[in-house]
Amino acid sequence: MVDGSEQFVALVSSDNETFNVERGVANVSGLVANVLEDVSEEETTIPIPNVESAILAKVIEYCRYHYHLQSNPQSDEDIDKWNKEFVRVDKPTLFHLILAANYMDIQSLLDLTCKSVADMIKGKSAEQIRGEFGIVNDFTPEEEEEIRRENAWVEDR
Amino acid sequence: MAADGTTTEVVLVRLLPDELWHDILRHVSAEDFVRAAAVSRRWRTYTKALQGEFWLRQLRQLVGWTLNEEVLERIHPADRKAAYVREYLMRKRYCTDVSEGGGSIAVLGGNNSTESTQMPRAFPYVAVPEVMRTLTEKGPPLGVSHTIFTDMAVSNTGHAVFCSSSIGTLKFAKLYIDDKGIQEQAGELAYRIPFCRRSHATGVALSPDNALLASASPYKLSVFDIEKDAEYARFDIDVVSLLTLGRTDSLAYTSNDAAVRIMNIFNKEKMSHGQMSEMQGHEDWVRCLASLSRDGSRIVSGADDRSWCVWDTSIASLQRRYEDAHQYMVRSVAACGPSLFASADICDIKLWDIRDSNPSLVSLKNNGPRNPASLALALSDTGSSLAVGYEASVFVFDTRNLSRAVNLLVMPTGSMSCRLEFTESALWICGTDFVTAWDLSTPVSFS
Repeated sequence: MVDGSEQFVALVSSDNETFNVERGVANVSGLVANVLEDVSEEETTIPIPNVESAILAKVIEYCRYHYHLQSNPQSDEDIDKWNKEFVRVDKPTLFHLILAANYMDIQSLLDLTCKSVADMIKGKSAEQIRGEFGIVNDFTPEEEEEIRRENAWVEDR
Repeated sequence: MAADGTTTEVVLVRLLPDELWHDILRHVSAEDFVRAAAVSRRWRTYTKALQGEFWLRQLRQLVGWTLNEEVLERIHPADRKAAYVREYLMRKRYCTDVSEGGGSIAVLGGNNSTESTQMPRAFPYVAVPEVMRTLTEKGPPLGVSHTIFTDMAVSNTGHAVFCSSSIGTLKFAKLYIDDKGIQEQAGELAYRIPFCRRSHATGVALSPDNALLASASPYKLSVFDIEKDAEYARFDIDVVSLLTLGRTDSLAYTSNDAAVRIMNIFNKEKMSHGQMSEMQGHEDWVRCLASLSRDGSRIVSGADDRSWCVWDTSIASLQRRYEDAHQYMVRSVAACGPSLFASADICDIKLWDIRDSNPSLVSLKNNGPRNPASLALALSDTGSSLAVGYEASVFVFDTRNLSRAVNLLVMPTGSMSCRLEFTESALWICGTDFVTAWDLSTPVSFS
């Protein structure tokens, strides 16, 4: 799929910053791969209008690491470690990464980032989850009571 | 909610469209998923939207075995969470029992009695309101290491007697239900009766007073006195299926032909040595029998000629025959007097009310003809529930709405349901390698 002679693609972020990326790395994104399939060989500038430069840089970092795994395999443990380190970011960045992964069609990154948010929910009570994401409790007391009854099987350990 | 930075976080939460929150919630555990549903109305809609696929996946993980996976998919999406919760709670209860040392009689699957106190990794029940203990034999059976149950008789007092066959022996055990689950009557892993070589039990029936047990094996019908633990009569007949005829001390049976026969064998004084009467009406082998009245005066039979017949046993005559009742051979019938019964072939299960001129009520289609190794039916006393044993699954339907099963039980790997019987509070299930009871005292909701 990838030529030996390294071709480059220019990815342009929403704030007009250009990233020159090896074609193979860019192809990790389903969106980019699709565009590259449809356009002529010379056309190498692809706008990514939904993604800011800071996030796009992160996404490219992810794509580059996972692209190079093909030629330079690593143990699952190491990959896991790298992935964990990669998503150790603040919440806004993480959420923007989810959006970018979804938009750029990178399933493994979407899974990784979603799992990372899922981990924030892990073991937390509803109140703690609200605190974590700043969500307002909009249930009536009656509804809360009903939910409490419904969920008794989980809380009663 | 008034903490600093809240406003930016509120914006943050709104940053992701609903489908991405769905993606996130797909990755959480069952417990976290349930708590997430309690966060806010919006989050509640997320969990509602995901519930079908989410609980299916959780059920798969919890059940942990793959034999009959499609069965899990057949649970209605809205019922999967309830199925999971029941399964979860049952395991929890089961584990507790074992840790308290009370699990010694609970043997699952019946492969090996040494596993009796261990929690099997794959507890084989799904979507069961309250499954009681499964009990198989305690000690090794005589001569062979593997036992296959072929039929079960349930007494009108709620005791079950199951019959098992292994090569050269026939084994019965008496079971009862108490608040701890299914128990075996103390000291009574009864009746190990040596049979001729290569013989196996094909059917079993209890006398109306629960004192005698008739057991069929190829070319032989034996009657045992349960109290005395002894065989007291034996007949050289070949039995396909057996049916106790209520208070008449008689037994209806079918052989490898088109007749239904009646014998008086449950009264020692008046016992007939040979058939009392022979009833003709079918055109091919009769496979199954069921009683439409408690006293057994009216029974229904199903046969290879694809028809069913209703008989008056008191005058030994055919009352009604319905030709072409089924597309394929009738494999099983179950009745709930005086007029309602169900019949099954490999493809369809039909409910009949014979008071109507055109008696077919409703038909439950399977997905095209297959050839199930086992097919068993039972109707509850009120006729409100129909249990269908289809290979390794037992479905319970509300007879008012056969469009979907209200409950489902999946048998241990490889087990086939060979007999289902409703008693007042339980559905007894005899599989090829275990016997269990499904507690129906917990009301089943027919929503």
